[in-house]
Amino acid sequence: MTTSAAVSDSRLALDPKIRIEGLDVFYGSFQALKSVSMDVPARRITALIGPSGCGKSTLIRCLNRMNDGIRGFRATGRILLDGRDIREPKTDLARLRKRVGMVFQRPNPFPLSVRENVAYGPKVHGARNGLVEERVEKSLRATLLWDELKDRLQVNALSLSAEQQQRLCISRLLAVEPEVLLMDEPCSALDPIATARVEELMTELKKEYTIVIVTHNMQQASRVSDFCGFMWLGELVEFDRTETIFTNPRHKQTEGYVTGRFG
Amino acid sequence: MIHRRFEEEIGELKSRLVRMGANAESMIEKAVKSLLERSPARHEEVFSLEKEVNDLHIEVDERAIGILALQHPVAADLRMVVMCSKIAGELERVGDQAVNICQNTADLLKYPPLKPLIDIPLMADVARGMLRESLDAFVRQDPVLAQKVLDDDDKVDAFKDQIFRELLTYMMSEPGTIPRALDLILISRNLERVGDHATNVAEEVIYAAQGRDVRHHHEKMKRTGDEKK
Repeated sequence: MTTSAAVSDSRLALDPKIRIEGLDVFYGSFQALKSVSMDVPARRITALIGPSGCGKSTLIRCLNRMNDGIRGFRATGRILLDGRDIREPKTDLARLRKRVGMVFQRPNPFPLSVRENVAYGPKVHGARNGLVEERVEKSLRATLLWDELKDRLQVNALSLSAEQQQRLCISRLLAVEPEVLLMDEPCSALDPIATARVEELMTELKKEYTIVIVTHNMQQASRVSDFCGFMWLGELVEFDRTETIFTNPRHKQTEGYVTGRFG
Repeated sequence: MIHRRFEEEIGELKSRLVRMGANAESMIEKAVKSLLERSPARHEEVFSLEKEVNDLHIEVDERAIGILALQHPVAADLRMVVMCSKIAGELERVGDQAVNICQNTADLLKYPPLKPLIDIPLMADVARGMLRESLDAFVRQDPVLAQKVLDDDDKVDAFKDQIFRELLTYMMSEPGTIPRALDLILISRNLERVGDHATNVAEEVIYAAQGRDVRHHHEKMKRTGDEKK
């Protein structure tokens, strides 16, 4: 039921930015992902939902190889970004993480000024001063922080509100001109109004970027995402357009989870 | 903070409902015209509008379910979405009544005219007016206009009774008139049903706008009024 159904379900996107093929992941002897195959459509929001421990965070972290450093981590299978397998040994990890950036549950700005936070990435990648300033403004505008903070770029990022800090982390990503944004429970630490604003921002950002979001909040997944993958115990049970997952899912397990009957 | 996407979805839902209402109104107008002008040629126009109305009915329901599943509206927004789905059902049945009028007219036109038609066109005007006002009330979220529609339902019922009484005398005095009289009675019933559907739309507008469910209360008030008589 699961693997072959998931494979046929997930070939929905004609233009996948990322194609995952037969991904198995182990932490030591524990198998966290079981033969996951999935397409991430370009310039859409794809949500991964499922109960705690189902493997959704493991999966999203594979997309820019953030799991590599974890002791006992082992993976087989392919992850194709624009057709090229990022799991090949010769992959430049720094460049990969520039193209595929990540935002975490708890905002993690550097203990530097707002400006220095956003300028850090472009500088590390060799941008000159003029370009750095341009990127700082462009990135802060993209997350609607520019008007709020343009006269306070020197304040310490840690003095900002949680929502502003999360937007700043997104700005930091955008400054290095990524192609894919990975968001692992990006609104968990935010209140409902801040959450709504960040969700509105995601809807704007998808015009330019491919977004993958992990969320335990099904209502968030249904509000913002275009495609949804439901995971259970390391398997991708079902992948489809969000409207289908929440109005007429194919698998009983999916129906049981989204209706809150179990999970 | 309302999501822009939600506002857009609601706008799309309402615009389809408005289109459905306009089509349903047009169907009744053309059906009645075909009767008054004794011209079955208009029936094809009614049937092709019926297909559009049916397609819109399905689309409105699909969109409403999508909004409920994905956007989780509450309070007035929730009432609005649920009511849109119900109103679509009422409008689809108005379309059915128009088709029935055409079918009864087609039968009637096999015979020479029974009598000059005076009450039926007047009844049709009231029923169409109720439909139009109920849809205006929906667009404007106007419970006062919706209440007026509820009050007009008595007029339609009175026409139906009057038409029946008159045609009964025809049938009793000359049995040869029975087929034509029955067709006209059926057409008056179709128009009475249009009035009922407009009333239902108006009740749903009041519920969406004010959260007051006037359906059975309204009927209870009518029954109490009848008992007192």
